[in-house]
Amino acid sequence: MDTGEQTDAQLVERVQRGDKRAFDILTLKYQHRIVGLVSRYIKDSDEVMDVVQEAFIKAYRALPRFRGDSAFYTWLYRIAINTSKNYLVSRSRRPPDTDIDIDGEFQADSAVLRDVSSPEHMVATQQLEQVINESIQDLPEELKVAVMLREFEGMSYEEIAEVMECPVGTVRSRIFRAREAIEKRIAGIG
Amino acid sequence: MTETRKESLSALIDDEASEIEVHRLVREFKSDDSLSDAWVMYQQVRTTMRSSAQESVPEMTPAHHRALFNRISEAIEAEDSHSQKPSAVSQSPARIVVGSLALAASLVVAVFIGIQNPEETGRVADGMTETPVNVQTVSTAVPTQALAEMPATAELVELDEEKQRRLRAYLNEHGQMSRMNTNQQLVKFKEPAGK
Repeated sequence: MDTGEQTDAQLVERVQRGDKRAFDILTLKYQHRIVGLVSRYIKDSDEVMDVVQEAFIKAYRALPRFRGDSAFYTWLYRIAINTSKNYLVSRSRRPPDTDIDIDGEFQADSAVLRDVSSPEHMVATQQLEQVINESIQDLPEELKVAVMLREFEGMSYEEIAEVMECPVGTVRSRIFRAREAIEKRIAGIG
Repeated sequence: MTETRKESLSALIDDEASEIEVHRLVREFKSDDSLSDAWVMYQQVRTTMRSSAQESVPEMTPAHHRALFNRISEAIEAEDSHSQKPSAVSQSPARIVVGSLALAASLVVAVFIGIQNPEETGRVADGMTETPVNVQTVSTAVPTQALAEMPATAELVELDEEKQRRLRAYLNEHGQMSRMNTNQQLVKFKEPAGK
């Protein structure tokens, strides 16, 4: 990880000195991850591509002000999250509804359900997934972003703290509160 | 189970709990069923979220990714290059010149004051009982008569009309008193007893 961070720092420095090719390398390195992140907010693949492109351009323009206090990719994540939110606001949509699929179409392929064959069990699990997804959808924004970065992006608390610009303790508390809210919704259907 | 303990459990699932928390949770896990229930629930939430996340990401082929990369690269190409780091801007030549001039001006003033009255400066250095050199000491060294005869000197220009008038009146009065008492002492001392 250190080597990766060092490489990012070197690439950032090259971009700051005027080497645009170095930014191409950073784009190649993080494009897939940023697409995945933006896809939590936006469903349409054309819109995802537009927002990802805008996020990278914003990052390039802001790069002279990037001092390396945080890792480049957490800084880039922050820009991508804000760009996605702004895009949805400009389209008059509620920011993160798109990371939720409440149709239940995906449930048959879910890893959890692969070895479950009884119809009753499937219905119960479908219902559970729907409740979990709905409760995530209803979470306050900061709880949702924290738990999303943890569960979908696999970020550590420290990395999430950098992205959300808050203390690690706050991240820990937000993730816990998100899980609590989901648990309460599940208990409600039991 | 307390909220604090549940928060520790949540952190433990993410491998972010402290060593003390881990020991405490392991110890309590055997006696508190609600802890194990919460553990199972958190794990189930995680599994469901991660599996649904895989499904909700829109399908993007390698061709999509190539196209996206080309779009970003072209957009960046159209942008201006970053030629200087922002930290270099703070030490611009203009700032250096202004700073140097200010320092030089301070040195000139200090040297000028120092050489203007070297005797007094020397006295202060030699004997600590002497009055420190200041502007007033220098001005009292000028003869009274000379002061009276220089109505438009640089010092007086700064005074307003009223102050100038009062100063001249004091000086005239002092001159008259001096002429009237040339042969007299202003204070009569008592004669010594033996005289």
